[in-house]
Amino acid sequence: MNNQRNKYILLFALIAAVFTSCKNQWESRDAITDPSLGVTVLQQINNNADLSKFSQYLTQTGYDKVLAGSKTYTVWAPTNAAITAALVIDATIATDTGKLKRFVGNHISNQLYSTSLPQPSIRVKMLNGKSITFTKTKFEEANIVLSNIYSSNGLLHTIDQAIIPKLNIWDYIKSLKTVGLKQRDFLLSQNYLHQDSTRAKQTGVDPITGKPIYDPTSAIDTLNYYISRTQNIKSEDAQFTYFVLTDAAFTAESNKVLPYFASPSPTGSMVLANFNVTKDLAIPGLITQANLPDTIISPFNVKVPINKANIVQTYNASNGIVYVMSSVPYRLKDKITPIVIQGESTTLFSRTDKAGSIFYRTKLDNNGVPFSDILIETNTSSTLTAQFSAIYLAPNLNSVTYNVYWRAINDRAATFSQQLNFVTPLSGTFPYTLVPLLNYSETLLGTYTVTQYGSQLMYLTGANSTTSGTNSLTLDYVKLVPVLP
Amino acid sequence: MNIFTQPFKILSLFSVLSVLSVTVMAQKADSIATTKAPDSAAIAKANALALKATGTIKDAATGKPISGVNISVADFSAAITNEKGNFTIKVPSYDAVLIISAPTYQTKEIALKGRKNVSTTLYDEGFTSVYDQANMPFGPKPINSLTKAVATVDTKGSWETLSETPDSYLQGQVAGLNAVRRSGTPNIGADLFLRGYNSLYATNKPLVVVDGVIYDNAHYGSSLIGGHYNNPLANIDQNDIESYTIIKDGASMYGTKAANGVVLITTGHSKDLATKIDFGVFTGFNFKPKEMPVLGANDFRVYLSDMLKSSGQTDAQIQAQPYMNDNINSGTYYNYHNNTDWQKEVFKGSLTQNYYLRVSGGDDIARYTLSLGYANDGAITQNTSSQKYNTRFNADLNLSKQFTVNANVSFTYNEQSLFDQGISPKSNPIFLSQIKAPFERQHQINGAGAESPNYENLDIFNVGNPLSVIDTAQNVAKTYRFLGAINFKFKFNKYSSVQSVFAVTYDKSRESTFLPRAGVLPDTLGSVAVNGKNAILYSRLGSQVQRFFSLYNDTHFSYDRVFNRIHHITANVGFRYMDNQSNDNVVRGYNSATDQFISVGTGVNALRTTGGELGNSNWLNTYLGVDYQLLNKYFFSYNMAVDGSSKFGTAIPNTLTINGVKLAVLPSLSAAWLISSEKFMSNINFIELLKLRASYSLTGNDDIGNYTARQYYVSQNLLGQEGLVRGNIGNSALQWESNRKADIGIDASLFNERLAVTLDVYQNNTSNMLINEPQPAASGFTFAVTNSGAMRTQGIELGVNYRIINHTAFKWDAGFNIAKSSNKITQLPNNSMTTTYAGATILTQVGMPANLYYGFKTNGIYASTAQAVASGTKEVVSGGATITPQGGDVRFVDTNGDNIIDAQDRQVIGNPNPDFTGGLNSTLTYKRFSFSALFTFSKGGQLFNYVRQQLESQKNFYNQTPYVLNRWRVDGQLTNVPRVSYGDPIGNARFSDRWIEDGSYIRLRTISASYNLPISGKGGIKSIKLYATGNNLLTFTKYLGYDPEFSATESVFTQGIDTGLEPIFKSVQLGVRIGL
Repeated sequence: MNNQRNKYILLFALIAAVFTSCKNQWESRDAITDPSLGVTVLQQINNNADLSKFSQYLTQTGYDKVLAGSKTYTVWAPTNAAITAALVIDATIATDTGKLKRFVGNHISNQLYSTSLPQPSIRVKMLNGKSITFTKTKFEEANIVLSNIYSSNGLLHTIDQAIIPKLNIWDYIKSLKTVGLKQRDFLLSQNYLHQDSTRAKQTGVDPITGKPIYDPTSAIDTLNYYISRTQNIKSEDAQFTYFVLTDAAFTAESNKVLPYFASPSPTGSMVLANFNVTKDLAIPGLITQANLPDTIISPFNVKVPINKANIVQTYNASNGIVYVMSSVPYRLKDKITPIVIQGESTTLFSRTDKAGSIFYRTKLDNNGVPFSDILIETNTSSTLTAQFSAIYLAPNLNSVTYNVYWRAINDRAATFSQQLNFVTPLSGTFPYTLVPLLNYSETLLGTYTVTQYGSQLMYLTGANSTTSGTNSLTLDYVKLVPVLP
Repeated sequence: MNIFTQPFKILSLFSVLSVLSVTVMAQKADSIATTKAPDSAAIAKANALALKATGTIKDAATGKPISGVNISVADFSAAITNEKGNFTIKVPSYDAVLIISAPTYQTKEIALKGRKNVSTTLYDEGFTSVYDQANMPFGPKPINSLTKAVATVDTKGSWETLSETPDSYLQGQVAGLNAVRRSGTPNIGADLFLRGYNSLYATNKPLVVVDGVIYDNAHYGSSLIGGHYNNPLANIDQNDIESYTIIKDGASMYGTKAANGVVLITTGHSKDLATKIDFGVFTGFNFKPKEMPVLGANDFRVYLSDMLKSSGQTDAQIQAQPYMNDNINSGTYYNYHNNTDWQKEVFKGSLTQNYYLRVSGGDDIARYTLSLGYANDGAITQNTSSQKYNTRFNADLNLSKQFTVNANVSFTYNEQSLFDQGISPKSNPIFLSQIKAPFERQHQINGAGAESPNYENLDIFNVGNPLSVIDTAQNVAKTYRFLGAINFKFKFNKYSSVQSVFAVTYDKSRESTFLPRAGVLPDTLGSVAVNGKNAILYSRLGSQVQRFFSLYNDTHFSYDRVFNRIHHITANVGFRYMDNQSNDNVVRGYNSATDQFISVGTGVNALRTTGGELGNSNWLNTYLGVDYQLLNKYFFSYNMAVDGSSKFGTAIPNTLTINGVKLAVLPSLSAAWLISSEKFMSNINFIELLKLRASYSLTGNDDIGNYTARQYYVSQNLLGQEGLVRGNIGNSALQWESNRKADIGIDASLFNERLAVTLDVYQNNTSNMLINEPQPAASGFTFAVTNSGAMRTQGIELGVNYRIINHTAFKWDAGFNIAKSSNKITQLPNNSMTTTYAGATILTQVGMPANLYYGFKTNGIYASTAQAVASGTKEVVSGGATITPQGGDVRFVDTNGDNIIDAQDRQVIGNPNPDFTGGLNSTLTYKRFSFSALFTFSKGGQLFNYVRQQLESQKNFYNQTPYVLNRWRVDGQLTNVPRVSYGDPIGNARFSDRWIEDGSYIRLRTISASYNLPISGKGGIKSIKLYATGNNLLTFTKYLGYDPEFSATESVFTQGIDTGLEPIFKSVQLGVRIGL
C-alpha cells in the first residue's frame, strides 16, 4: 500500500514537473541576450571609469535624465584627461552652469551615429544646437578612442579631446573687436525687426479692413537683409567659408565701386556699394586654408580673388570657417557686370488685346543652338496696331555708360524696323533700326548713359504702320555692357 | 491505371446486371420459400441431431456468474443462463456462432470453432466492443462483420461538450480523421481531412450524411466578414447526435461524392416507450488568451526613432514629431505619453450559457424525440458573441407491420456578431491591437489632459483604433437551416423491403456588415477603368444573402437473407437524386452620411455595387451494394455506383455514355477474413477477435464547379459601360476527379476484449485531378480548368483501446489513435506550379507533397557591412535592380552559387502537413464519479507565422515583439535580429524560413468530470448529474503565436498559414442535467 502511495506521489510529482517546466515559449526567445542591450547609454557611460568626469557633468546639467529616456542618443564622451585639458583652455566651463550645459550638450546627439555612417564625413547636430563634423575616426578635432559601444537606447563613443562649443560665423563677426569693424558694422546695420504673424498674439480685428491686429510687442524677430539676400551664416545646419575684410581693404573695395551706385543720397550710395562688396564674401561650403584656390566663384557668379598671403587671421566657426583678409582685390568688371534683358521676359505690352499676335518661340539658330525669343506680328487672328510696344524692366542699372546691343532674329518674309527706348516711350533713345533677315549676331545700337543706380523701363516699339509684316517686332535679348575704365 | 480499371469497370457493369437478375430471382424464390417454411424443417433436423454446446457467462468486472443471459443461434435455438451462469444450447454444428445478450450488458458473439464448451465474460453496456453495431449506409451492422475501414464514435449524448460543432467534436477521436479547428470563434468548426488530401482545387471534405440524407456542407460565395466562414455543420446540434460512423474507404455507393470518405451522422431516436425528459443547464467561462508580447511605450519609441532615421528623416524632423516632444505643455503631450495595452482592450473573458431540453417517448405505433436548445456562446473578442436556437423532431411510426415511416425534422437559427479577422489590416481589431503604437491613447484628449468619451481617430501612423472598430463596427451573420426528411419503408416479407427517403434542405445565411469611418483607415475602390468607380471609401457597408435549397431522394430495394446458415446475402439496389439550387446576393455600399447610418442603403448611391452568383446542379446516383458472408467468417462486399451529374462535361472520353450523357462508373470490392473464427484459432484464448480486411474501390469527386464544363459569360465594366465577356474556357471534357483507394487492415481484440487494436495501411490515388492549367496570354485567360493532375496519398493508422482497470465501481479506459499520411503529386501540367497566399509561396511539384513552403533559407545576418561586402553577394530587388547588403541585413542562402540572391535561390523551407496526428483519451469511472480527458496532438507540421512576420518585419511603424530589442545596430554586433529598415527595400522580412515554425503541439483538449447524484426517484426527478468541463486548458507547443491550431481556408494551399484569426481559447463549463 505504501509502495502504491509512493507510486502515486511520484506520478503526481512528474505531472507537476511537466506542467511547471513548460515555460512560455516567448520568454526565452525575447530575452535580451546581449548584456549591452540591457543597459541604457547612461549606464554605459557610468560603467566606464575613464568617463567619470563627464558622467558627473551629465548629472550636474540634468542630461543624465535625458540619456535614460526613451529616445535614441549618441554620446561622444570625452575622457577625464580630455576634460582636464579643456578646463585648462576655459576654466569657466566648470563654474558657469549655462556654459557647462552647452559644453556637455556639445557631445550628445539624437539618433544613432555609428562610425560606419560617415562616408567620409557627416555633420551631426548636437543637443546644444551646434553641428559637428564626424568621420570614421574623428569627432571634430578629437580622435575617437572607443567606438560603437551600443546599449538599449543609444551609442557611446569616447574621444580624447573635449569639444568646447564654437561660435558660428555670424556670432563670430558680431564678436569682432579689433579687425573688420567696418564690415561688422555694415552687416549689423542691415538688421531689422519683423513681426511673425503666425506666432504673434492677436489683440483684435481692424473694423475697417477686417485684418487682424497683433500685439506690437509679440513675436518680434530681428532679421537681417544681408543674411536673407546672401547666405544664412547664422545657420548651424550648413557650412560656409566667410571672408572678413580689414577696414582698409573694406574702404578700398567700397570706394572702387562707389561711383557706379550714384543715388540721391550719399549714404544710400555707400550702403549699395558696401553690399556690392560684401555680397560675394559668403561662400557655401567649408574650404580649409590648404584647399583655398586663388579664385572662388561666389553664388552671385562673381570671381573672388584670394591670396593666402593676405589672410590676417582664421577662425574655425561651428558652421564653417572665417578668414580675415587684408585685401580681396575684386576686378571692377566682375563687380559691375553686363546686364541682359531677354526678349521673352516682357513686363507688359502697350495694349492688352493683342495676345493673338504675340509668340514666345524656342528655335534653333544657324549653329543649332536653341534660343527663346519673342515675335509680335499681324496674323489671321490678330492685327497689330502701329507702334505697338513690348515693355521690359531693365533691373539694377549701375550709374555708368552702357554699350547697348540687341539680338533680333527676323526669320519672316520681309525686313522691318523696330526701335529701343529707355524710361519714356518713343523718346528716341535709339533710332528705328532695320532688322535684317536671318541675322543671328548681336547688333550694336549705340551707348546709353545711366546717371543713377536703379531699374528703368525699356520699350521695344514697332514701325508706325499698320501694314502686315512691316510693323512686326522681334527680340532675343538686349545686352547692356558697361564701359569701364 | 486505365489498363487496369477499365476491365474492372466493365466487369463491374456485368456483375451489376447479373446481381440485378439474381435479386429478381431471389424475390421469386422468397415467395415460394415462405410457403415451404424451410426453417422449421431445419430446427427439426437439429433437434434430431441434438448437438449441444455448454458454457459459462460471467461478469467481466466482478468475475461472478450472470444469470438470465440470452444465448441464441440465429434462426435455430435459444437458451438462458442459470444462477451459476451456466447454459446449454442446441447448435446446428460446432461451427455455429452464439449470440449472447443481457440487459445492461454488452451484446457479444462467440464462434464455437469446434469447441463444445465455451466461457466468456461480459462487459457493461458502455464498453466499446467489436460486437457493437455500426450505423452503415444501408442500416446497422455489427462491427466485426465489416469489410471496410470504418470507425464509430458513440457520443453518449455528449452533454459535457455542449459548445462543440460536429466537426470539431470529432477531433482526436478517429484515427486518420484530422480535424483542424479553424479558429476560436464559436461555431466556426473544423476542417476535416480524412486520410489526408485527395485534391488540390476540389473539396477535401468528407461527405456528411445525416440520418440517410446527404448534408450539404459546402458554402456558396465567400463571407463579407474578413476571415469568417459560415460553417454549415454548426446547424446540427451536437447534443442531438447519437453516433458517428466514419467510412474511410470503399464508400463507392456514394459515387462521385465519396472520394474523401463519408461521415454518417445518426441523430437520436427514442428506443424506449416510456416518456423521458432530460433538461440540461450549462454555464461556462471563456478565458481571454495570453497576449502576444509587444513593445511597451518606451521601447517602442526607441525603436521608432531608429525606424524614422532609416526612413531618411533628419534628426530635426524626427525631433519635431509630436510623440518625440516630452514637453507637457506641447498640446499633444497627453496624446502620445501613454502606455496602452491594446490587446487587453480587445480581448475579454466571456460567459457561455447552454440550455437543452429533450423529450422522448411514445407507444407501439409512434415514438418521438423532441429536442430544443438554446446557446449563448461568448467569444473572446469584445462585443462578439453567438446565439444559437435549435429544435429537432424525430419520429418513428409503425403504420402497419409492413409499413414504417420515420421522420427527422430540424430547424436551426444562429446569430453571430463578429469582426473581421485574418488579413484585414484595416479592420481586424486583433491585428490592430498588436500593431498599434502603445503610446497612443484610446480616447480623444485635449492639450490640458481632459479626456473625451469619444474614441481616438486614426493615429499619426494611420493605424486605426481597434476600440472604434469594436465599438462601432457591426458584422452580423445569421444562418437558418431547415432539414426535413421522411423515410418510408415497406417490408415485402422477412427478406426484402423497399425504402425511400425524401428530404428538403433550406438554408439561408444573411450577413450585414458595417465598418465606421471614425477610427478606421479608409480604403479605395478600384478605378474608373476597372469598374467605373473611383472613390475613397470611409465607411463600408455590406449585405449578403446566401440561399441553398435542395431536394433529395434516396430509394432502394433491400434484400437480406441467410441460406442454410452458410450464405448470408445482403443486397441493396437503388438510386439517389439530388437537386441543388443556390444563390448568393451581395450588396456593398460606402460612405454613409454618418456612422449612425449603418444599413447598406444609406451609402452613396453612385458607389453602391451589387453582385452575386447562381448555382444549380443535379445529381443522379444509381447504386448497388451486395454483401456476402460465408460461414460467418468470410465477408465480401461489392458496391458500385453509376453517377450522372449536370456538372460533368458532354465530351468525356472513355466513359460510359447513355443517350449522350456521360456517366461515372465506380465499383468497389472489399473482403474480410475473420481469422479468429477459424478452428485452428480455438486454442489461442488471448485472441478474442482477429480480422483481416482488404478493399479496393473507385470513387470520385464531383466538386468541379457547377458550370466549369460549360462556357459562360460574365459582366464586365469598361470605362463605365457594362458588357458581357467570356468568363471561362469551357472544357466539355471536364470530368469528376477519380479516386482509387486501396486499404489493408487488421482488427484485433485481445485479452478478452480488454485490448482492441485496429491497424490500417492505405493508398489513395487521385487521377483526373482538377488543375487550373495556365494558358497562353493570347487566349485571354490565365488558366483553364482541366483534369490534368494526379496525386497519391499513402498512410498508416493505428487505433488502440484498452480497459486498464475493470472493477464494478472503478473502471478506467484508455484509447490512443495515431495516423500518418503523406501525399505526393504524381502528375501536373508543367510538372510544377506555385500559388501564393498571405505573402507565402506554395510549391506544388511532381514527386513532392502538394503544398510546400517555397522561399529563402537564411543563415543569420551580416555582422558588419564589411562582412556583407566581402561575401560578394548581391540581392535582386523588385524592378530587377541589385543591391549590396549591408551590416544587419539577413544573409540569405545562395542556392545556385551565382552570388545573386533572386527567385532562383528559393527552396523548400517547410511542409505544413503534420507527420502524425491523433488523440489520446481516457475515461475513469469511480462509483458515481466519472472523469474523462482527451488529448490531441499534431507532430511535425510546419506553420508560416504571418502574424509574427508583421510583428518582426522591422520595416514600418507597426508595433513589434520584444525580439526586435536585440536588433542589429552597429557594425560588429553579434545578433540574429536584422537591422531596422524602413520599407525594407532589400527584403529582410520576405517570405523565408525566419517565419516558418514547428507547429507540433499536444493539447489537453477536453477534460471533464461528472457526478451522478444519488436520487431516491421521488418527486418525479429520476436523475441529477453534475458536470464540470475544461476545454483547451493546456497546450504544449513551441509555436510563437496565440495558438498553433487554425485554418485560414479549406484550401490545401493555405494550410498552416497563420493569418491572425481569433485564437482558440481556454474555457471551463459547469452544468447540471436533470432527468424527469
